[in-house]
Amino acid sequence: MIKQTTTKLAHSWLAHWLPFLHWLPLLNRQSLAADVTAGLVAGILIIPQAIALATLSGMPPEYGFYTAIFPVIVVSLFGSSWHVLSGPNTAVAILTTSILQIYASPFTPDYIAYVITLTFMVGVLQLGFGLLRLGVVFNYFSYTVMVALITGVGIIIMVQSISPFLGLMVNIGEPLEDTLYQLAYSIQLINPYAAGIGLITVVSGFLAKKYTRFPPLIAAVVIGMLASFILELFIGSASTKMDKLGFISFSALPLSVPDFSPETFAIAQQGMIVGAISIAFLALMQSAIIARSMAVSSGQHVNMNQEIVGHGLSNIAGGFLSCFVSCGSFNRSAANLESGAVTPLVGIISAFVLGFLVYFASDILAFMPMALMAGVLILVGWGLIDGAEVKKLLSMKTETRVIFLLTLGTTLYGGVQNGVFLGLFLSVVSYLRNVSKPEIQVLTGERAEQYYPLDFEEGNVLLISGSLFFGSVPALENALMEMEELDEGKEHLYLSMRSLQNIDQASLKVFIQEAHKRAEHGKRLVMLLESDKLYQRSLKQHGYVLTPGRGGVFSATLAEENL
Amino acid sequence: MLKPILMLALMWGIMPSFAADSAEVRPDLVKPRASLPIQLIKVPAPNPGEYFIPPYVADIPEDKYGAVVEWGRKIFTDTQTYGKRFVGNGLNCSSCHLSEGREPFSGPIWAAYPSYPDYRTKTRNVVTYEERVQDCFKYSLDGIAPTIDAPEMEALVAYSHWLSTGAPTNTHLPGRGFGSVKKPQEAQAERGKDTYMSHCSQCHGTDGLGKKHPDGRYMFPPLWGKDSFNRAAGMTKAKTMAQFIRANMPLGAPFSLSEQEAWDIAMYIWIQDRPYDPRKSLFVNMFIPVTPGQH
Repeated sequence: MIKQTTTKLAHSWLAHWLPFLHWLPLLNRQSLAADVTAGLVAGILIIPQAIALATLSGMPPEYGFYTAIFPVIVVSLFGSSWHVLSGPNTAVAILTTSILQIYASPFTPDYIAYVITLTFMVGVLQLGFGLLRLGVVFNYFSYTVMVALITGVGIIIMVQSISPFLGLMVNIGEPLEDTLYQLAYSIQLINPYAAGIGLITVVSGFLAKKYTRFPPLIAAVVIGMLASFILELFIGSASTKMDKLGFISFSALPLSVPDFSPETFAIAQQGMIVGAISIAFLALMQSAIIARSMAVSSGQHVNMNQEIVGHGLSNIAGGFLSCFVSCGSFNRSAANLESGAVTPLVGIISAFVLGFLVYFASDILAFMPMALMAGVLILVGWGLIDGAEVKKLLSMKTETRVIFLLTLGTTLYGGVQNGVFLGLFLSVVSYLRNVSKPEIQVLTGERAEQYYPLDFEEGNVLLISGSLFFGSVPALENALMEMEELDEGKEHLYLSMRSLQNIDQASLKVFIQEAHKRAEHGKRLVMLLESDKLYQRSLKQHGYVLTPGRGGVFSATLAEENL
Repeated sequence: MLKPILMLALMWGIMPSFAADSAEVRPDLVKPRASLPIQLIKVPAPNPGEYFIPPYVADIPEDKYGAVVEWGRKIFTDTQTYGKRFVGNGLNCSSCHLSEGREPFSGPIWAAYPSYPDYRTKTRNVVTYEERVQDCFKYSLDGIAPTIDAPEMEALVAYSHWLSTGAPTNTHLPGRGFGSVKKPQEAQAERGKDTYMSHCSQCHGTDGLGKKHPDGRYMFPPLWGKDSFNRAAGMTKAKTMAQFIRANMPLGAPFSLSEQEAWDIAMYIWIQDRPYDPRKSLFVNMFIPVTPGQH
C-alpha cells in the first residue's frame, strides 16, 4: 500500500519539487518512534560541535546553533538523501575564516555581515549547480584530494587549538610553524588550570571513544564541564583565570539580510566571489560524498542534483536566518544511520531539540571554558585524520601519493582555499591522465587472427579500447611505432576498436598518416568498428568508406582517391 | 648674562599656555550644586569647572573607527543588551561610571584610560587597560571576562580612547577615581540605614534591589542582592562606596551628604548580601566573613 502511493507520487511533478512528499507516507508509529529517538540523539550531539565550529568560523556561539537548526530543516525537506544531516562543517568553517579575516576581524558585526552575505552567495551558486544538473561534476573529484584536504583541515584545527588549550594567546593567521614557535617561547605563560581542563576533556574523549559506546564529544564536554565546576568550587572562577564562553543570546527567529551595499561589500567583493566559489565546491563535494556513502549503507537511491538543490536552498535560507555556510556532516550522518533513523524527519526533530536545549541550558553553557572547547576541537581535528587511509595513500607509488602530498602541503601552507582549487585542478589532471591512456595491445601473426574477419587478408592487429582523443595521441603513436618495429609497415593493419568509446579528430589524423604510410607498400589500414552510427560523420569527412561486414562489424577504409 | 634671564622669561610666558592646552576647560559644564549652603561644605575638587572635557557624542567620526566607538558606547551604556554575553548581573558600565563615563569623581573613563598600564595593589602587578576592564566584568558585573582580543573589548577600548581625546597620558587628572573621603571616627550601619531610607530608598528601593523598567532592565541599579556587584568588586569596599556616594549621590545633588553620612550608608550597603567573591572557593565564601576594608 505504502509502496504504491510513493511510486505514484514519484511520478508527479509535485513530488519533483517537494521531495519530502516521497517519505511523508512512510511515517507510521514505528518509524516515528525511531525518528524521534534518532532526532534526540542528533540534537544533543551537535551542541559541542556547533559552539566549536562557530568559534572556528569567527562567529559568536549562537550563530553555530542557528546554523545547526535552520539549514538542517531545509535540507531535510528539500534534499534527496534520507539520512544526511546537514549543519556546520569543519573544513568550511576554516575556509570561511581564512577568506574573510582579511576584510574584518572575526566576531565583529562587520565580519558577521560578511559571513551572512557569503552564505547567501554560496547558496545561490549551489542552487545554480543543482538546477543546471551539474551534480555529475562531483564524481570527478578525486577521493585522494578529499582525504588530503580533510587531513590538512584536521592538522590546522589541532595546531590552532593548542593555544586556547593551554590558556595562551597567539597571533592568528600566521603560518603553522610560526604558531608552534610562538607557543614554544610562551611556555612560561601557560595557565595550568586551563591546560588541565583541556587535558581532561581530550583524555575523556579518547577514553570514551575507545572503551564505551557513548558519543565521545558529549562525554568530553560533560566530564570537562564537571571538572571545571569542581575546580572553581575550590579555587574560585576568577583565580583560575580561564577564558569562558559567555552567555548566549539565543533568538528563535534571528532574521538577517545579505548585505550587498557598496560601502561594505565592494572592498571584499573579489575575495568573496572567489571564496564563495571555493566554499560552494568544498561544501558540495563533502555533501555529495556523504550522501553517496549514506546511500551505499542504507540502499536508498539518491538523486545527486536534488541533494545539491537542497543544500543550495538551505544556504540561501541561511543568508536570511543568520547562518554561516553549512553542508553535510559525516559523523552526524553516520551516527544518524546508526541510531536507526528512517526518514529525514530526524533533522527537523533534532533542530527543535537543539533549540530547546540551548534555550534552557545557556546559563550552564556560559561557563564552558575555552580550554574545554579547544579540547573538543582537538578531538574533532584528530577525528578528521584517518591514519589508515593516509598510510594507504602514502604507500601507493603512483601519482596518488604526489597528489596527496601536494594538496596537503598547499592546504597547510597556502590555505584551505588554495588547497581546494589545486585539488580540483589535480583531480581533473589525474582524470585526464587516466583516460588519455587507452588500452592498446599490439598483436601479430596467429595471435592477431581472431580479431579480423576471415575474408580479410592476413595482417597485424592493434586492439584498442577506452577513449581516443588529443591527449591519447602520444600513446597511440607509441603503439604504432612498436608495430612498425615488428612489421616495418609492410603488412595490413587492422584496428580492432569494438569497445572504443570515443574518437576525435586528432587521433583520426594519426590513423590517416599511418594509412598513407601503409599505402606506399600497397597495404591497407582498416578500422573495425562496432557500429556505423557513432563516428560516421567524422569518418566520412576524413574520406573514409564504411563497409558493413559479418557479425555487425563495420570496416572503415580510406577511400582510394584520398590515398 | 642676559640670555638665561630672557629664556626664563620666555618659559614663564609659555608655561601657563601649556597648562591650558593640556586640559581643556569649559566652565559652563560645571555641575549645579545642591541647594544647600554649599559654601559650608568642603568640596574636594580643585577649582570648580577645571575638569577635562571629553568630546561630544555628536563628534564621533563617521568612519569605521567611529562605528567601533559608537558600538563601544552602546556596550558601555547598555551592557545588558550589547554586552549580554559577559554580564552576570543587572548592571551596566554606566551604573557606576555615570554620564556615559564622563562624570568627574565617578570613575571617569577619560581619566582612567590614559593612566594605564599601571600597578594595581588589588592584583599586585602591572595591568593594561584591557586587563582592568576584564576585572570590571569579573567583579563589578559579576560575569565572564571577555578575552583581551574579543571585539567587545576592542569596542570598549575604542570608546575609552575616543573619550580621552586630547587627555594627557600617564597623568593623574583632576576628577579621576571617586574623590577622597576622610574616615570619620566611627561609621554605623544602623545610622546608615536611616540615612539610606531618607536619601536613597526612593530610587534604589527600600530593599536596595533597585527599580526596573517594564522590559526587565534596571532604571535604578540594585545596590545588593543577586543582580548587584559581587564581593570582589571595588564598590564592595566601604571606603570606595563612601567616596562614590559623597561625590555622586543622590543623583543630581553631589557632595550634598556629609562625609559621616556617606560612610554610614556605605557601611549599611556593605553588610548586605551579594554574589560571592569569584576569586575564592565556595567554602571560603560561605564560612569566612569579609572585613570592611577587604575588597
